[in-house]
Amino acid sequence: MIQMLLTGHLWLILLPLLAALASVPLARSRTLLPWGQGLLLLGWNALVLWLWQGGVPDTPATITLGASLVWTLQTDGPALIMALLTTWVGTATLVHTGLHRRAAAMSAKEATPAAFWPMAWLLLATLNVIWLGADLLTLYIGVEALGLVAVAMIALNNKTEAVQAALRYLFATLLGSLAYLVGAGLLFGHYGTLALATLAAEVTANGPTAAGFGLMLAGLALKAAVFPLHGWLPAAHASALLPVSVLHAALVIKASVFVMLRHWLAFAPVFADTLLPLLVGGLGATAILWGSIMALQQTRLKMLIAWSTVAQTGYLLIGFPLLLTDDAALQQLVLQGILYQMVAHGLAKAALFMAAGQLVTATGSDRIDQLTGTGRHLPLTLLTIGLAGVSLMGMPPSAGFVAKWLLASGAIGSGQVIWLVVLLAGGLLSATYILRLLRQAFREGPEQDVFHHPSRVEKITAFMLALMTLLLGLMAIPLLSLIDLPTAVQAGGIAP
Amino acid sequence: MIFTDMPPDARVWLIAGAGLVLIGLTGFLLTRDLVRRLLAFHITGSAALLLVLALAGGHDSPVPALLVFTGMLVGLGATLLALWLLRRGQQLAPHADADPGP
Repeated sequence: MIQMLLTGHLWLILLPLLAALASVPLARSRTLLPWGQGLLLLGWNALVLWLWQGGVPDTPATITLGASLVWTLQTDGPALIMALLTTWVGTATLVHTGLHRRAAAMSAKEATPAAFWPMAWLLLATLNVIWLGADLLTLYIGVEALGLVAVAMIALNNKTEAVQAALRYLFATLLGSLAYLVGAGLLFGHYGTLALATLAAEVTANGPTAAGFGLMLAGLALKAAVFPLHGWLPAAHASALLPVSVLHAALVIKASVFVMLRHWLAFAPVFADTLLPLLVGGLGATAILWGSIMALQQTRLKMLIAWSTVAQTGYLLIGFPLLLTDDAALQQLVLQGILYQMVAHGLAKAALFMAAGQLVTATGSDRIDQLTGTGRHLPLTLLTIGLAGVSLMGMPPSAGFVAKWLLASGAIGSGQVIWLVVLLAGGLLSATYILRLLRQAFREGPEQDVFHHPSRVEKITAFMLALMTLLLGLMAIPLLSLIDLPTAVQAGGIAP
Repeated sequence: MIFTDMPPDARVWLIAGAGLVLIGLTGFLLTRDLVRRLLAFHITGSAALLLVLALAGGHDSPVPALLVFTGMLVGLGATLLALWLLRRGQQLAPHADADPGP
């Protein structure tokens, strides 16, 4: 028991869980809430920074659950990078939601519901379960719990369209998990283990593996809103409360893609000669084009951002076929590219959603054509949109540029230039919808009668996230050096 | 190939599970009524657990039971959540109990 509590990485899960418990009484008191949340966030950030300092351990963390049951936590570079992203976005979202004077002064009606706080911490805990999961059962539990918490959070907004969007999302996520569960059962029936590392070592191309892997990929694709299974996403993101949209777009979508990535590294190499890599890459490319085109046509701000998420998820999938190369150095480059894209998009999308929330507060409307004149009143908010936009477009210097550069190098290195063309076209398309937004905001128009200023803390947290996409574009080594040559997974998993 | 390696009673489970999954999914896709959709999901879910037992059995291990048990717990949580959402939806818009579609 004592040895278990000494495992630093376990606290990535335990701390948010305890924080969720502590948030139940805290959320009742408007005076204690900011202090309590601030303290919890400080502790969490300190823990993650300490783990980052320690680097990647040589062996995964193991926790003895029973006489013959050992639970392994996957503490490799990808897990650590995603834990860092979770901490950054989570901290910014919670600060943005509750640690400012307006939140304390808000009437009970417009304030964030008290249930938001424990749910947000629970969401962050399940995300860390997913990053650290080294076997199919842990990943299943993580993905499933994440789905349920995410659905409940979308329904926190007391509006008909939010409840309807939450229901559709619930059915999508449940069907996705069922497919995953049956796939896991199939693989266990054939290989007799659920540990990803053992599976990766023993995998061969045969019927049961293809069926199980296919079911898992399809189920996760539905949860990650991969084109053409993205139908539930725009309504859910546009109708949820703002902090919920931020967490969902920046982190929850990533979790399903991350589990796909873990499985891809374990199982896809034996299917490298089939049509599977082309199919996944092709879906990614279609998502980029379709998502960007739909984003261009939206008249509502949050819908534009939601469609942009569909497009940006496509970039992650384009990396999947590029991972299946024999050249280990090239494979490392592509893996770094995919993870950097997750970080870049997570930060930029969170900043963009927060800035959108400020524009909605300011103009009292979610319509893009109502943005006229905001450029004069909210320079910091628009600078945030500009910086985040640069990263989404993949222009230097930004984290998005580093990600796309790594992916492009992988595409050229393995001679698959077609994916390079998609990367470039996607960058141009995102530039059009971001610039359309900015042009409308800087256009001068008739003065509005009603204009509310968002609080300073809100503006600064969103700007910090956008600034981080710039900083991570200038200094990529601290994060990238966490990813060594991709071993599919370290040894371990649940060994019965 | 999977089928022929199985013990006979697992084959029965497999066929029953696959049939029920098909029935559940058909019901799920054909109805827009949200309560029926939830019931159809339940049939699919229970059948999927049957499939897991049929496919993952055969090893002397607690893992298949663990998978199914987790699946059942999740099903319970999901049902509670879905019913809560359905009630919320009905309170907000008393006459709309069907999915308006995309």
